[in-house]
Amino acid sequence: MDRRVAITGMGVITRDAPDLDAFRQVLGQGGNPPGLPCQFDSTAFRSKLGYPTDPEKTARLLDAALRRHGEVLAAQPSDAEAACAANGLLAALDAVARAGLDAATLRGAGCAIGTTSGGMMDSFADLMETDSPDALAQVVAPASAVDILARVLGLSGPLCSFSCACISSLAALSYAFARIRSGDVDIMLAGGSDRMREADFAGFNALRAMDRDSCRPFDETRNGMMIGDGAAILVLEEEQAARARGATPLAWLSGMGLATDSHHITSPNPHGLTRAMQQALAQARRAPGDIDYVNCHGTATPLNDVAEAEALRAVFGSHRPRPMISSTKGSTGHLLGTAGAIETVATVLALQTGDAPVMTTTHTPLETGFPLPLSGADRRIGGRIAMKNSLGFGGLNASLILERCPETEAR
Amino acid sequence: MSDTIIISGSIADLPQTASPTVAGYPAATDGQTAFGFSGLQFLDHTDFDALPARQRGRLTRPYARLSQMISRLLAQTGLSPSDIAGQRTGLVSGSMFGCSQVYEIHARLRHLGPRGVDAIRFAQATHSYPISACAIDFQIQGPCFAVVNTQAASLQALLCAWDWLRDGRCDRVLVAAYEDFTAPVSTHLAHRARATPGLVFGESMVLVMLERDSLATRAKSAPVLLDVAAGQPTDSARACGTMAVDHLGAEGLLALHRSISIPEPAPDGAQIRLPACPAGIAVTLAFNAMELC
Repeated sequence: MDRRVAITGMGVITRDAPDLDAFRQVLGQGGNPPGLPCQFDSTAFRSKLGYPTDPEKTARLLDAALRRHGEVLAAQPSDAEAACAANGLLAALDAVARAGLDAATLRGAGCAIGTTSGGMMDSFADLMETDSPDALAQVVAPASAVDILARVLGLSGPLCSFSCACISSLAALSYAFARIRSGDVDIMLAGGSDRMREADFAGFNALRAMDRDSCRPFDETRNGMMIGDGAAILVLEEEQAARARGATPLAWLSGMGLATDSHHITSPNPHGLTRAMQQALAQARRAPGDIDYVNCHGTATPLNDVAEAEALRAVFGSHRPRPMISSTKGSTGHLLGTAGAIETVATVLALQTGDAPVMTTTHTPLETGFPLPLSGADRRIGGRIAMKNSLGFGGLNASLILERCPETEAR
Repeated sequence: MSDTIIISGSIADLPQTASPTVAGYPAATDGQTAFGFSGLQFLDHTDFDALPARQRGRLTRPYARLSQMISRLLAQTGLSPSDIAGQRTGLVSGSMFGCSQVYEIHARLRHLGPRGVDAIRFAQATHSYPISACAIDFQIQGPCFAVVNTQAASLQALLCAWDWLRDGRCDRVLVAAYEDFTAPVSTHLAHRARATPGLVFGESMVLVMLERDSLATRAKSAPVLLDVAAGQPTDSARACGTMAVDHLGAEGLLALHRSISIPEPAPDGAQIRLPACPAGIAVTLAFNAMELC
């Protein structure tokens, strides 16, 4: 049975955006310059800057959100749970409120979360050497965020957590999409939640994949990514269930593509992404010419952007006009496992506003053959269908198709 | 897709020791000896440990074992590597704790600083590394996911495989489940086991192949996977996952493996699920036209 899947709510937290409204502004104006993380001392690393959230500020935001949305809570998070999943809880509470879900309806929902490493095993390992690990014993598992969200929000539907490098949160979205389409459940909270992790910061430095100054996707001078953290949660809902409770769909999620390029652990090959995009189009019953905007993975590493542009040319090559493409990582940083979810939110917002997110850090664009929404350029998206792509270590690729709803258009 | 989905092969590696304690198993460094390893059962890692250091450094234990088990499963099913190469085959893993390398890289950073984190080790430090590396080895080009979750991880992985077969993405999917105990996971579990007398955690790796019946080349009937569904556990579902040793995230697929390896008649519609799983996965099988659990 083909059950149509609507997005009825979205919530976001990044360094520069404590909620969805602020995130919309970031996408329209560009983010602030990268800064030093306060979670650890980054001065020993070659590249020291990123887009880290401030855990103390996040904790204050979470306290306020828990008070504001008390009517949907099934339980209060413990201190350890709040420390582990503050970003995810904040984004979920925002998404649930914007979707207009009441507590009773929310209880039947499931949850799927993508995460880079998740949990607090790092903190546990540190504590092992100094103190009792008891305080963290219940939240050390790698996929803790989904369990914490389920307990705090009282979710009784399917729960699953994915850790597939940078496609993690699109994997979570694909799982949620399948659960609703199969009839297992009517509502899923899906997305990504991550905390800034020193080991990832060190690792991407070791790979020489991080720029020292700024992230410049699809720029001739690009020299790498900059790590950020945060969360993005989307409320996915079966169409009839959403309409029955009076919810207005923000967009449709109409197709998913999943493919592996089987080439190299850290060097992408365009064939995998090409197949993922073609699969997503086929499932959505759309042609390449129907796509008006592509939100790219766009890490600004020399290898990624070239491979991605080649895959895009393979899919859209014969179609004119070509869709506008962009990457939002110059504004938010690379949120790793959460990147796919936050960029899906950015794509839905682009469909709603009709403007692609501006790329303020890209000044000397790479010749991709696709229009880019650079500062001062026309950023209007002509139509109502968009694509979101993610690539991950190991040659993992995911692509999804989003369609603007007529109701949203009318508003 | 209307094609029947069968379980065309299934293998499992389990600890061979009967003792809940593996005497003399080398305790990890990094202060991991405080709780000892009582209550843990380990797989036989002799082959991996015997590899030259240089070769071992380019592998991880879960990746090396999974790669070897895929070859064994191919032999069991009579398939060749070329049968699983390409975009019609998927690979998905489920594990509660995933790859220890993810945490080991943090420990190395703590002890050695930035120079302790090199590019090769970091590239291995994702929970999806075992499936990605095996996808490269065997040229598997369909979807590859790593589910890292609670006790339900391996059945959630099975559910992903079911989704991919049912929506036509794949003709074959390899579903792997494993737990690999190195620090700090081993320390954490030893601590938990010590707090509950009789509790024993076991390493394991299970590998199951699902495929469309029309593709299968087999000499005898294979179990048919009738349904995999996610939702709340139901009272009528029979719990099959309770074992003397807790294999954590691998438990669900291990229960499935045991069910099809030792066939016994069971009531029609009997289900496999984990009672402790907060979101139950109901798996329904049929074997020789008789439902079994």
